[in-house]
Amino acid sequence: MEHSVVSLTLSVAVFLLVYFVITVEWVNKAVAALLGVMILVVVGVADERHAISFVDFETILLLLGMMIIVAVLRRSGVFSLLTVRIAEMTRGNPLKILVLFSLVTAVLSAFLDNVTTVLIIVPIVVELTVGLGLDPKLFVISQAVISNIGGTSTLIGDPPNVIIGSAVGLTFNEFAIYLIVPVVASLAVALFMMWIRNRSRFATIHHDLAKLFAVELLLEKIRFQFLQTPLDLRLLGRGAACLGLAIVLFVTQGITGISPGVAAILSAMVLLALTRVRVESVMEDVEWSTLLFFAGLFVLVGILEEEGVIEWIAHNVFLSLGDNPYVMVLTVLWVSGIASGFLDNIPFTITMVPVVEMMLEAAPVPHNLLWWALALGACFGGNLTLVGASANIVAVGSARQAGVDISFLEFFRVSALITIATLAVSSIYLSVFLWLTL
Amino acid sequence: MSDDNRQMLDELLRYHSGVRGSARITILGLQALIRAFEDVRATPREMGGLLAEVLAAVRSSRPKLIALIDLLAMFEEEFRPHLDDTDMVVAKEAAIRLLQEKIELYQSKAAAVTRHGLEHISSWNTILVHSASSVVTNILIEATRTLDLTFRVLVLQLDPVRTPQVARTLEEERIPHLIVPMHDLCHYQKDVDKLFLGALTITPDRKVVAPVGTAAVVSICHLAGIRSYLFANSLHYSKGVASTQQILKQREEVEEAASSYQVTRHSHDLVDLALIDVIVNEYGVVTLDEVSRRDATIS
Repeated sequence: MEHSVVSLTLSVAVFLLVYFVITVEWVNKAVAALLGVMILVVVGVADERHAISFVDFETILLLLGMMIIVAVLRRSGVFSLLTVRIAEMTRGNPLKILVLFSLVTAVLSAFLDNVTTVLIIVPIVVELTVGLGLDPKLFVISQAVISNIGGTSTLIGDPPNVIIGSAVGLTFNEFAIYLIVPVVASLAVALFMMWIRNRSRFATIHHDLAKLFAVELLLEKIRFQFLQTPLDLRLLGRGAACLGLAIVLFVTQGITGISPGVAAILSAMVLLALTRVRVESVMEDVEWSTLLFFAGLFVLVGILEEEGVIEWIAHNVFLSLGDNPYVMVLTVLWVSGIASGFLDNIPFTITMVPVVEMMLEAAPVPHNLLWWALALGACFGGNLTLVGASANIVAVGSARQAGVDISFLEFFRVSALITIATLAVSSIYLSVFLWLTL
Repeated sequence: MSDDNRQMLDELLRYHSGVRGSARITILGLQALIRAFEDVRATPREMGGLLAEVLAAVRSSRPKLIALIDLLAMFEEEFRPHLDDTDMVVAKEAAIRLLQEKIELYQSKAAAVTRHGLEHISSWNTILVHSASSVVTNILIEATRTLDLTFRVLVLQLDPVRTPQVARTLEEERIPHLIVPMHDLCHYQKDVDKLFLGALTITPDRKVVAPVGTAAVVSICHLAGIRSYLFANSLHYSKGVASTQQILKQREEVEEAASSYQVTRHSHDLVDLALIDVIVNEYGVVTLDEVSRRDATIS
């Protein structure tokens, strides 16, 4: 297609409109993105075959495969059993509730998507904290925040990482090796900040017989409610084996040459074949709207890239910073962090990938540090506000279903300082890394 | 103990009483207190005050959980000498031992009711069951397992939590059963031989505190000439009359067919004991007079 002022203007206008609609949540995100694509196709900015070529099917396949594996594993009852056992281990101690559930959330979100993780964890955290007469809001917000932090540690943990990984070809191992230190440090900082700012809420109950008595009755209620379906060992064994297969294939990508998307779909299909669960019911659990949202955004950003808009942003915003690697890395980190707090971090990351590629062409930065800065900024930045990450919205929605309303400001009061602190931790990590390698 | 905490405990007790049944809440309550004593950090002297708080909260449960209240009162009496112990560990061990004894006492009485209950079931009976009373379920299970009796159970659908429990148990034990809505009972009156019931509490003014819907079922069975059997050990006999049982009355907003209205409902039914044909406790079949007389010997 010939680039014209009209098609350039239309593609920018539609993109900004879609971004705005996504941010204010006027309509479903997937609908907004695909409607934007359709408008551009109808007005002739791109034809449908060309538009489809912009979709990164590696990302879509990776997400689809992992969603299928998680959907089958959920049916085994293992997540309910896990959360109930954690609840039992807390024995009603508020600090243990915060720490133990946060650790589980961090680990789960590293391997499952964050939305699934909070859907597993939040209902039981609400039940436990409300039942103990604690304010559940802090605990719900903490799980959303921790899921975004924990998800940052792996290729498959958070959508921005999936996008970066498949766009750049970074492996599962590289994500784990380079990001584990800032993630663990940020997790510790986040938990410390939650504790230090709310110490009075974490008083122990060991001197209160009535409360200890109530805790035991509450734990029994939780056991009864959440363990209605017995553990399906057959499904669990096969699900765990196929999840293990996917992870092994991710880790050995350098040897096998199998891409993460292929590894995920292969494992998911093996699992469906082995378990013979009703495929239609598993497919109902796949978040098709998220996958369509991704596809639509890939097309919108692809068109912008073709129209030269991304190049213009790269040259006039990021490349004007010069070639000082410290300035480049920290700018990408903090701009990504703050922008992801207010915009959805998925479209933001898709937009930033070509920008960062151009920055690297102009002034190379060693050890993919610019990509790690983008990953840390986009994932941690999602914690800044309620609308920054899907996990935040889902966690608050899940709490609302249980009668706990968390406002935008209440979320912000807890999450803002933690986001700044985790971005500061990331800044220190990236700067030290850069200093050691330059 | 704050009002919020007291209300929280009341809701937990009512939840278990509602979905698990009166026998299970009694055992659960005692087990919960054992674990609370294991975790508590207090001097024996402080334990007295802390225990009084728990007992006050349990006594204010709505409705009153008479078996649990009476067993805890017995425990409080027996534990009192240990409040003078100097060693916290010794006092805690004594509390746990005494509570364990109360569990065994309850279980032995419940087992005796089951034994006597077996005398009232025969092959080819059709037994009507309303709520998931564990004493009734145990009788049905033992009749199948140990007596190898062949009978059929008609389960009245109660609520989304308790009915599946009964269904699952009967399924596991391979006891032939049919689950029907309560309003369908009229179609099965001729098939049913006996109605088996459990109870939360039996009062001296000859009333039974039982799950919602029990009063209607008992009345229908009485009119249809179906014999009603009530199985409850004497720990469920209260000294207080029906009006003192603190049955919870709640109002809730209902939105249906584009209109909203308030429904007022009670948490439990009151059933006239005179409508019950056979009353069985741990001593066997007892008369109405004996129920009242035994009541005087309890707690």
